[in-house]
Amino acid sequence: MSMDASRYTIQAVDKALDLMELLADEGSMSLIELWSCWPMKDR
Amino acid sequence: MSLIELTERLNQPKSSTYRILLTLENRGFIARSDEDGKYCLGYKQLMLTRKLLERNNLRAAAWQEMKRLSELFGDTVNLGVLAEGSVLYVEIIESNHALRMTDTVGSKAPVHATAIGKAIAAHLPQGELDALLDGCEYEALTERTIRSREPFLDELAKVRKAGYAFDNQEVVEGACCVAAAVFNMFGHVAGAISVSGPVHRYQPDKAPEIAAQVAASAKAVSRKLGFAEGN
Repeated sequence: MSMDASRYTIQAVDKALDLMELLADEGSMSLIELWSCWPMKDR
Repeated sequence: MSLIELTERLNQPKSSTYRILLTLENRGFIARSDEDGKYCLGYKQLMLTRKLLERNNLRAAAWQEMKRLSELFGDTVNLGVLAEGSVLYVEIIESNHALRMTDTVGSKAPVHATAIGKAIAAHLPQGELDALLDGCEYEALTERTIRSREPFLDELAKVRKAGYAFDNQEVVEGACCVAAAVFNMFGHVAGAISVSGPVHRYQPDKAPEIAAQVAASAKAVSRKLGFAEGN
């Protein structure tokens, strides 16, 4: 895996964990609500 | 598991496995054992699970299905659990028909006569069932009420086979109820969901459809609670 691919993998893992914590806190969220929590470049 | 074991099982390079593990560890989702340094689930998993369990209670899980049954049949929809040897109603959506069955949330009803009681009892572990039936007085509420242990056990066998329980005027003359058990993530019976109304709406041409829908709702609620069929 290249350094770039590796970096993106870690970012994706980080975002997935953010998502799980967010859902744990909020209970449930729509896709639109979830989108509003992330900058456009990270979606 | 060790890094090498994880790398082999996941079939991906050691370096990227390590980076992912490091990220998960930094966030508390996994931890390393003090004894041998191997990876295991971290405290954050427990926190997420606790939040899930807090929210995913029976009433919340059942509400949508109760509304669906209410809209489908217009009869009273009940959600009950077993409490101190009786059925305890924890949620009720009242019928919109002029002639209807009514109970109140928090009220209790006997296990041996109600469809909810039968649906729950039919799926209790043997020890719990024995204890429940030892304390049952089999009060004759109507001429049709089951009045002793053996016929009640026969009835529970029928409930297990059919997948739903029926109260045919056993609590109140002229009133019927169909119930199906709801199971939790551990496969234990958590309660039961039922539809009840006057006997003329539960004739042989209608009852099977109501029973099928109640059973389908109970399955849907069980799935929401984490029950996987076959576990």
